Amino acid sequence: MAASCARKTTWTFSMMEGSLFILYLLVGIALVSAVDRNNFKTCSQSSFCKRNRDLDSGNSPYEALMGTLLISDDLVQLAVLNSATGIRLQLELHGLDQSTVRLRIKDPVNRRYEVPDVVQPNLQKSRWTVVQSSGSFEATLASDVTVRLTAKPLRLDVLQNGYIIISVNSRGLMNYEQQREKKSPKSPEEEGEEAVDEEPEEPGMWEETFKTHKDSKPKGPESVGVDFSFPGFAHVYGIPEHADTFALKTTVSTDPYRLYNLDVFEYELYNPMALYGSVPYMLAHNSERTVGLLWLNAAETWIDISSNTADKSMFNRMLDLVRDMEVPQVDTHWFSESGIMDVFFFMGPTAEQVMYQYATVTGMPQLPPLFAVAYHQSRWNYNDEDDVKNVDAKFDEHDIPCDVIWLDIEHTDGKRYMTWDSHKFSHPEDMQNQVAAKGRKMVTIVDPHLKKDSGFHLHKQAVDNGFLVKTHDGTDYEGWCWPGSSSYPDFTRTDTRNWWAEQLSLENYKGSTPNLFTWNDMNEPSVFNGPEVTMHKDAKHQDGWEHRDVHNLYGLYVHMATVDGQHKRSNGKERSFVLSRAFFTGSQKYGAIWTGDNEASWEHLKISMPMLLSISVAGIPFIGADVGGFFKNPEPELLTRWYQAAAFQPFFRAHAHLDTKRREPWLLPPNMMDIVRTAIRTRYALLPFWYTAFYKASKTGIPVMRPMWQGFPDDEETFAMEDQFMIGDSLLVKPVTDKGATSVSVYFPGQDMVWYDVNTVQKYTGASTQSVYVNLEKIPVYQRGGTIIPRKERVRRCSALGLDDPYTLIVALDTKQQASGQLYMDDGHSFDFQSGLYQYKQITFQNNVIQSRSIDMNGRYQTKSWLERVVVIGLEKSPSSIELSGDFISTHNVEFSFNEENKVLVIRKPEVNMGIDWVMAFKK
Amino acid sequence: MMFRRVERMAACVSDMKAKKMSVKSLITLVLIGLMSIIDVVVTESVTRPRGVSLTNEPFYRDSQWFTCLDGSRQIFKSQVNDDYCDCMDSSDEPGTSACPQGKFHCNNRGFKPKYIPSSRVNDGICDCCDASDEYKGPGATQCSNNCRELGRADLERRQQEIILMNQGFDVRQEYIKQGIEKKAEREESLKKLREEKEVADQLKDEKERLKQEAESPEKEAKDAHKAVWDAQQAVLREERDKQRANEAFDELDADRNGLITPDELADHKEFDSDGDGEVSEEEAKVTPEDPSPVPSPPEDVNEGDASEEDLDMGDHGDMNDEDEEDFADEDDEDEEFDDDLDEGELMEKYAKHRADYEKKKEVKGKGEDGEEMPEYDEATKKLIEVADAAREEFKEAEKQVNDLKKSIEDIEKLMNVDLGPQQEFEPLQKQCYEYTDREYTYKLCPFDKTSQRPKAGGSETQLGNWGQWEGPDENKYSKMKYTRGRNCWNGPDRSTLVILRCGLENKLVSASEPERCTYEFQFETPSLCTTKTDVETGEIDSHDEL
Repeated sequence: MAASCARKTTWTFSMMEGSLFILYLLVGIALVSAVDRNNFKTCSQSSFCKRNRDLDSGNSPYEALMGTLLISDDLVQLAVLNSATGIRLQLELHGLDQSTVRLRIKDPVNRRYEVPDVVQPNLQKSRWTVVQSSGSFEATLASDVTVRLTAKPLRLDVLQNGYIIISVNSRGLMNYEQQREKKSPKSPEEEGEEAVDEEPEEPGMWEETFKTHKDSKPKGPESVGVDFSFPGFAHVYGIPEHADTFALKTTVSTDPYRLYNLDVFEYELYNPMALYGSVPYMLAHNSERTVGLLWLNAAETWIDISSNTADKSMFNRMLDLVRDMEVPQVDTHWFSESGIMDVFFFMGPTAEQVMYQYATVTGMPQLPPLFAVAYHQSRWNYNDEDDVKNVDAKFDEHDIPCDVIWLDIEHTDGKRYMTWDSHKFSHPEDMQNQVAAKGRKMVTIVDPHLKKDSGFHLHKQAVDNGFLVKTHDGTDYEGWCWPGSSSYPDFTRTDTRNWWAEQLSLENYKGSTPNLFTWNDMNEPSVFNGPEVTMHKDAKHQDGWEHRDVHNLYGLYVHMATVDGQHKRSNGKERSFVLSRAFFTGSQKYGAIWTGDNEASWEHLKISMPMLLSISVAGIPFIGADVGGFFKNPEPELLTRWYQAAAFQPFFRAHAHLDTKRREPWLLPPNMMDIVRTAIRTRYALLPFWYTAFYKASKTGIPVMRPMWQGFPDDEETFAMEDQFMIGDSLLVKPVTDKGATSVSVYFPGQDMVWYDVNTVQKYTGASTQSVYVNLEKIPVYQRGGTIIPRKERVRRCSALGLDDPYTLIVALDTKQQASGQLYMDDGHSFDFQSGLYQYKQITFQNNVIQSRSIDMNGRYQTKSWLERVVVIGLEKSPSSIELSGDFISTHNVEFSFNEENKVLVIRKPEVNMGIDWVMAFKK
Repeated sequence: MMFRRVERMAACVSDMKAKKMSVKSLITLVLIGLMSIIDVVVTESVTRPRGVSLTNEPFYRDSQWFTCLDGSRQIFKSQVNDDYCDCMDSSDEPGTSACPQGKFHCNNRGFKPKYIPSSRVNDGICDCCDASDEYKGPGATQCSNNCRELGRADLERRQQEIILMNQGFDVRQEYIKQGIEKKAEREESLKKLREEKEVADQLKDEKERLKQEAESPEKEAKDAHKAVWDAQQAVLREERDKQRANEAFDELDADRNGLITPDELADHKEFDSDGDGEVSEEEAKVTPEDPSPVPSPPEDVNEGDASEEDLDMGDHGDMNDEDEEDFADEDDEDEEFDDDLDEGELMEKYAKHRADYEKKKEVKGKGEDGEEMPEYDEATKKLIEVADAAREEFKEAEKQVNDLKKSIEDIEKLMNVDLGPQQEFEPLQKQCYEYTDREYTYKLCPFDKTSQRPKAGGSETQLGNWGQWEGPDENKYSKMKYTRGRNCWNGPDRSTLVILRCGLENKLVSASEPERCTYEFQFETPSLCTTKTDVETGEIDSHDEL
């Protein structure tokens, strides 16, 4: 939902000019259909961005004072001097387990904001071995990661096996703006006496005005920045959220990529403008390794990227062909408005290792409840209880599965969240119970802004307890949002979050039931009349921190507090489900994220893939885009294709703007409704596979939706690929995103690898690009030979009703007649799995034996599900018989059939319980 | 047990995809022979497999074999309802959830039997009132059989419905009568009006002829009168020009020699048209320009009424209506709807133009020195009087024709509306029905328009104008569509779908807005009570297909 007040276009209307009226109308439409760029700052309008971007590379004024070097186990520290100003900083190198290095540069005198609650407590430390020489030292971890520090000018290189992987300040762009007293205007004489070692004053350092908004900047300039270079790399990824390509682009001729959580109305595609969320985390990948870099800072941040390959002229590229190829290199320059320099290097060397290392530091993703992975039906707004009842019934009437029905802001009493419109939703519990009687859930929106109304209990309590964000002069901060004048709780405070969590209890949130879950929107935070539609940077949070310091973290704290509330309402028994629009590093611990207010256009369908991939590799696996597009009305073909694409994306929710036409699946022409039904049912059939992938993500940090290069790291063809992706390591998906498409081009990676069309079992061999015929029914999805995918083929109204249903295993053999896969099972909703009530199975096909074994012997979950069918694809020869044996069952033969033409063997009804370990041997 | 399974596998003869094994064909031959015997043996005593309806029962009668209903495959009878889907058409598992397209039949004895998707079997939800869909072992959902209660309630409900329908049916008959009468009445008055109009047309033609006859002598006399006056004026003007020229000449002829030289003109800066401070020879030859012509006002101003319409800016007023108020509230700094001001300014401007124009026109009618033309002579006056009378009579006759024309058009318009095959919707025409909810009063004026107005006060918003009947082909008169309502800001025109059903009186029972600017009304009317049923026997006495 959402959208700022920018929807309103200013009309000046003259009746004299009838034709002009039409012109205005057209202009009005044009304005409404694209972002109003004037609402958002460019780099040159942001003084610290301009200051940092204007820095020249060259000799850095910073030098390390080797005499101050202190080494203690996992920590190396020393002082750094800015030789131009004489000011000292403190540099720390922390050795961490898993090839991870943390670099911190702090101001020993002035208090600066350090991001709390993101880095996991009790990280495993790793001991440094330090070798000093004059003017430099090398510190090495057991994992063979070395940091070489050169003292003058200050430069750090992170090496692995002797190769420089990342260089810090090699271009000399480090800038640590020192907090200082504001100078009063000086007379010319005084001006002359000014000490030469002080930093120069520039406009915008002590006050900055954007449009009508003044930023008072009481602390003056305090930005931090430095350059990182990645020698040997041509591709970098991550730093979401931007509506841009997956492989990040050079910013030499554009603004830098910006990270500043903003409610952008009708965002533009393919540019570096900031959006709703920020993860200041970048990955670099080449055919030998993957590395990650986290810039842990919650203030407004910009990142410049240049590359000696991308920025090279055609002529120079030709020259390279003649001469020895120059080593590619990506140079990046990061700067934030305040805070400290706090950087993590995740040295991999594989992509999976980087992802694990990153998740170890910032938190493993939540294992979502099963229903959350299924299909969600939303709209701004389902008007009343009858409307909800009707939508619920229509899914059954058309036999389309659905797990969750959503209510947007109109369900509340005047946009007072956690209340109900007493006329339209007079019996909210009955309504939820009725929906829940079919195993379905509901979600209500709960935004962080509180309507300024002393009669509104949440607002009153927040005021009484002093929980609200304050303005720079100490009064309660006020801004405009959906309810009109609103206040914003200071979610950075633990007591505020605890209070918020309590409000979500079943007693306090009147009309809520255990089947009600939550959606946090507008948590950037969105302030309609604030600068850039957000909060004033000089607003005050706890301990005197400014909003400037915490901005990108605010949304995560809202998400965190809401999740906590859901946990508490069940005394920690049930898993939470909370969707958030704003996000930051670590949001993966709390729940799902979506890409905000997109638009019903083919371009937006296309961009959903690079956007979701970027967020995925930044550690947040549970992500999606509004199916159909939030704004405007999708044509039926677009809506159909969007369902098909989103059925293979992690978070699967249809949602639409208040002004759009209704577009629930049954309103499509019958043939398209059938296609959409099939797409949704396919999602449900694959839920065991999805759920297992989410379980793996929760244990390893490896995303569910993956870029092609992750599985095929040395295949350069895949490095910039963003229109096809993998789910887990088994399914290759190439959604159709062009109107009227009759064919798509699919790249099948992997020498000696085979791929099977999941509908036709047609075989494709890698590495090759194939043109595939597509009609409207077709979703091009391919199972990699060598994988096993669990499915549940029975059609149910929602996921909960199929919990005990039997499984089908799809075994796609590789060229060695082998395959393997996993299956994770639990009750789908509680935390009981943490105390062992789960089953995690490794299923393999090898030497003509297919078997299922518990990977984790601690799993004690008792399932009623049994094995209904095994489909083996690519089997060279039919066995004469197949013998099943296992725990608690007598060995016996099972029925099967074999299709000689397409080499598919189907085992009929082995009927073995999925909880036990079993073996099926194929006899010659 | 195990061995038999394998044997059975081998006998899956009809699995087209299965690799056939050598013994198979032999077994098949034997079995086909057996089948024909079994056919004879099978009796009524065979119970229906779970989920099979009585109609389909014969297909499941065979005790050893089952042929998928689409004929694609033959399987063992033991594979029917064995919780594994063997048939492509899902027909082998009517009683389990194993097949994706299966149908489970609930007998629901005491209530209505029905089919449910077989995926709803054993899913923990009671879908059949006889509880037959939830049967699976211990821990299964306990469903109770409430078909009898449902059946009773349903019967009562249906009986009430019948009573209502029957009463409504009677009213409807009355409506039909009324409608037909009204139609006849209208046809009658139309006929009468057309006759009257014919007479009036003739009268008008006659009066027009008389008018022309009276106007031509009038014109001659008036022209003659004006010609005399113009001639007098011409003489007068000539004299005056001459006098003025002499005075001017004297003024320019500085040396009083009877000749004007360029040097003499050079003293007169009014001839310095290029503004160079000197009067050149060229400039001296040019006569001073005429005064600027009277600017003519915009054309539509002359057209009287039309301009009024042009000024009514239908759409823009929409911005002030309630839907946009929310937004206006949210953001008062961006919004500037200053159209009221513009309208005022504009009106003023036009008024001024018009006044100027009239003034100029008056001036034109006057002679030199502002003298008035003398009155017409008596004879001319008489002619004018006669012509005026003729004109008046013509006007009268013309008005009568127009009035009749309008009356005819009005009736034709009413008669062009589809009031149902038997005119049963006629009594609704020209009526309006209201429904009030928490915020608005909604109004339905059938065959005219739909609207809403805020309860708190404020102007009415048109939600649609009569469009057409829009029910499905078999029930066309069950839905009305009203389109082209007031345009939504930045969106479509408002429209309303009215869903009709049988009721004892005409009543608007609900109104909603399922999506922005698209409204849905529920309306009850006896016009739709199409069936009369015998309460005792339940037999339909009379039924009108719509």
